[in-house]
Amino acid sequence: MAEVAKKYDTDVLIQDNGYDDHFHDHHHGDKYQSGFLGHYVFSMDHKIIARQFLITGIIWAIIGAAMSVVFRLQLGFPEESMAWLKPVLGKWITLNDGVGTLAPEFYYALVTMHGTILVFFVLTAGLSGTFSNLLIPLQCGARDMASGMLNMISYWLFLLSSILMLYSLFLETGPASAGWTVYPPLSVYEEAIPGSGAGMTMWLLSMTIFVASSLLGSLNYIVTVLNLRTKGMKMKRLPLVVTIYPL
Amino acid sequence: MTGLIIFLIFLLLGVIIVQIGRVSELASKIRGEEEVEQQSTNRQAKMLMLFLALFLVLGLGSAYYFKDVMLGYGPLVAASDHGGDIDSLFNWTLFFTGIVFVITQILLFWFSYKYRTMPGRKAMFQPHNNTLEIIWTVVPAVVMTFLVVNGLVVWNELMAEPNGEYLEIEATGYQFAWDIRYPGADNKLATKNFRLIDPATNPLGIDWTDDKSIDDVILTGADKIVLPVDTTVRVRITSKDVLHNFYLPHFRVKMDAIPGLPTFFVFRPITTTKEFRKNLKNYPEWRTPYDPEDPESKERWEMFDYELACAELCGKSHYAMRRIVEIVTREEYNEWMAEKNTKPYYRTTIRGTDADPRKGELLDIEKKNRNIELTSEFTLATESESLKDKIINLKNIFYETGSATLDNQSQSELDKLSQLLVQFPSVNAQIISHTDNLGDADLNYTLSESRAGNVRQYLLNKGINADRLSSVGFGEIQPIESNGSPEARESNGRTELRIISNLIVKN
Repeated sequence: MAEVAKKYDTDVLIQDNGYDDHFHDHHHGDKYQSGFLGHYVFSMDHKIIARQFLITGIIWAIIGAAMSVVFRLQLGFPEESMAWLKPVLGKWITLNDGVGTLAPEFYYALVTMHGTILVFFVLTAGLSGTFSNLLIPLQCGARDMASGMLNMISYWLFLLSSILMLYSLFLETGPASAGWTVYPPLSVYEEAIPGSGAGMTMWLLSMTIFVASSLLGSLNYIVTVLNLRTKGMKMKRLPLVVTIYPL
Repeated sequence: MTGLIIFLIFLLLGVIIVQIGRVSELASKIRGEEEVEQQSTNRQAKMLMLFLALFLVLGLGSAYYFKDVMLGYGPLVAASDHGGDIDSLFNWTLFFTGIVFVITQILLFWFSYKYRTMPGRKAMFQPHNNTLEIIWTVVPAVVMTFLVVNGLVVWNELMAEPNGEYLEIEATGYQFAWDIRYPGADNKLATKNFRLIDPATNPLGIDWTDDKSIDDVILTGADKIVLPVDTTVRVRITSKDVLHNFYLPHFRVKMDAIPGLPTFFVFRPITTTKEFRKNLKNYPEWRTPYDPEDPESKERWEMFDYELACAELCGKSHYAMRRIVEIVTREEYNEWMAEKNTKPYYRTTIRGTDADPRKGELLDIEKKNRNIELTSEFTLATESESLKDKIINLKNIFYETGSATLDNQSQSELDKLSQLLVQFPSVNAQIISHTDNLGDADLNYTLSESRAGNVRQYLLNKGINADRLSSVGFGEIQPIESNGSPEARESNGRTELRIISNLIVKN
C-alpha cells in the first residue's frame, strides 16, 4: 500500500480527479485489484463475510422453522390428517385410513434437526457470526479482523458443514434422530433408532467441520478485540456488544 | 384447487403490502420526510404502550385463568410427601422471576415511549455507572443464591436414603416398556447381573442362585403398579438399552434410567387414587364427559389414574411407555400382593427348567405347600369310600438313580406322612412302588420291592407300629401312562400309599 501511495502523489490525484483517489486507477495492473470472485465471493473483508454468514443463516432459519411448523402441526392438531404433506415428505408420512400422521422416527428426526439447525447454524453462525464479524472491527476501531484469511476460511468451512448437514436430510434412513442433545446410547446404535446410522455419521462430520469454523471465528474475534483496538479505546470503554461477542 | 387459491391469496396480500409501502413512501416525500418520520415515531410509541398493556393483561390473565391444568395448582396438588417442597421451589422461582419480568417489560416499553425521538432531544451517552453495575449484580446474585440454596436443601432431602421401614421395588426400562419387580414375601430384591439376561426366560438378568430371587414378583406388560399409601417407597431405576426416565408426574418423581448406572428415588405417596379422584370432582373442568363424542360416557374425574411415563427420548414408541400406577390402602395392597405372591416369577417360569439352579431340590415353600396337600389327600383317603381316592401318589419321594436308597429330599414327605399316621392311629396303609419300563423287567420288580421296603423301614424308624404298614413292589406292570417320553417314564416310576382301614395285613 505504501508503494502505491508513493507512485500516485496525492496532489496530482486531486488535480486530476477532484479527490485523492488512490485506488481506482487500474491502468498499471494494480496488484491489489481484486476480481469479482475475490471481491464478492472469496472476500476477506469482514463486512462481506458477515453478509455471507447472514444469508446462509437465513436460509437455514427458513428450513429449521419449516421443520418446527411441521411437527407442531402434528402435535397441536393430532386428529387432523397430514396427508397433504405426502408429496413433499413421501415415506415419512404414514397413512392410516386416509389420515396421515408423521412417522414416529420422522418426528424424532424433525425435533433433532430443528434443534441442531437453530442452535448451531442459525444462532451461532447466522446470528453470532454475522454480528460479530460486522460489529467487532467497527466498534473497536480496527480496520478489519485480525486475520482476513482465517475469517474467510471460517465462513467456507461453515458452508461446507451446511452442505453436509443438508445432504443428511435426504438420506434413506433419515437424518440424525436422537434429539439435538444426541445422548448415547440412543444416538449410537442404528437398532435403537434408524437415524442413528448414516444420519448421525453425517451429523457428526458436519459438526466437526462446524467446530473448526467456529474456532477460527472465535480466535479472530478475541485477537481483534485484544490487539487491534484503536488508540484510546481501553477495554473498559468498549461497547457491551464487543465485550459479549468474543465470549 | 384449494391450494392454488390459498397461494394466490398470499401472493395478493404480499402485493397489497408492497403497494401500501409505496404509497406511504410517496406521501412522505410530498409532506416532507421529517414530519412524517416524527408522526410515525409517535404512532409507533403509542402502539408499543398499547402492546405492553395487552401483553401483560392477556398474558398474565390467561396464565391465571388456566392455572388449574398446571401441576401444583388447582386439583393437581402433589400426591407425595416431598412433592409440596418441589412445588414451593417452583413458586418461589415464579415469584422472583415474575416480579422481574413485569418490571422489565413495563420499563422496556414505557422507556421506548418516553424517550422516543423528539425534536431537540439528544440521546444521553452513559459510558460507565458504578452504582448501577453494583445494584444489578448484587441483587440477582442474592436472589440466585436464595433459590439455589433452597433447591439444594430440597434435593438433599429427596436423595437421602430412607430410614426406618420402606418398600423397595425396581423399575427396569427398555424399548418400549417397563418391567417392575416387587421383592415378594421376604421383602428383599434379588441381585441382578446383566450378563445373565436371556430375552426368553430371564429378561432382567436375575441371579437365580440368590435365595432372595425365589419369591420376587415381576410385573411385565401393562399390569397396574399398585403401591400402598403412607409407605415410603424406594424405587431402583435402571435401563436395559437406551436412556429412559422414570417419571411419576403427580408424585413429583423424576429420575433418569441409565444403562449401567443404577439410580434410585425415594418417595411416599400420601393420597390414594380414590381420594385424588374425589378431589378432582370439585373442579368443573373435570366433570365433563371423558369421551368428547359420547355425552353419556363417564366423567373425566372417574377415569383419572396416576401414571408412570417415560421422560427421556428413547425411540419410536417412547410416548407409549406408559403404566398406570394405583395407590391403595394398606389392606388392599396386602390383598393384591398376596395374590401376586402365589405366582412369583421364579416358581412359575424358571423352576424345573435347565436354568433352575435348584433343580432336584425342594424349596421350603414347595415343602410347605406339599404338606398341606398331603394332609388333605390323606384325610380324603380315610373318609372316602371310592377306591380311587384311597390311593395317594407320594410325589416327593425320591430315590438315588437306579438304587433303592432314599434320597435326602424325600425326608419332608416321609416325615409328614409319619405325622399323619400318628394323627390317624386307626389307619393302616400299604406302600406300593412302581418303576418305568427301562431295563430288565425282573430287575425292575426287585428294585420296586426294595424301594417300598425302604420307605416302610423309614416310617417304622419313626415309631409307626410295624403291624400298620405293609409294602409291595409292582415293577413296570402298572404304568399310569404309556412309557413314550421321559416325562411319562418319570411319572410311571412312582411310590403310592394305599389307605387300608382297620385291616391288619401281615407281611
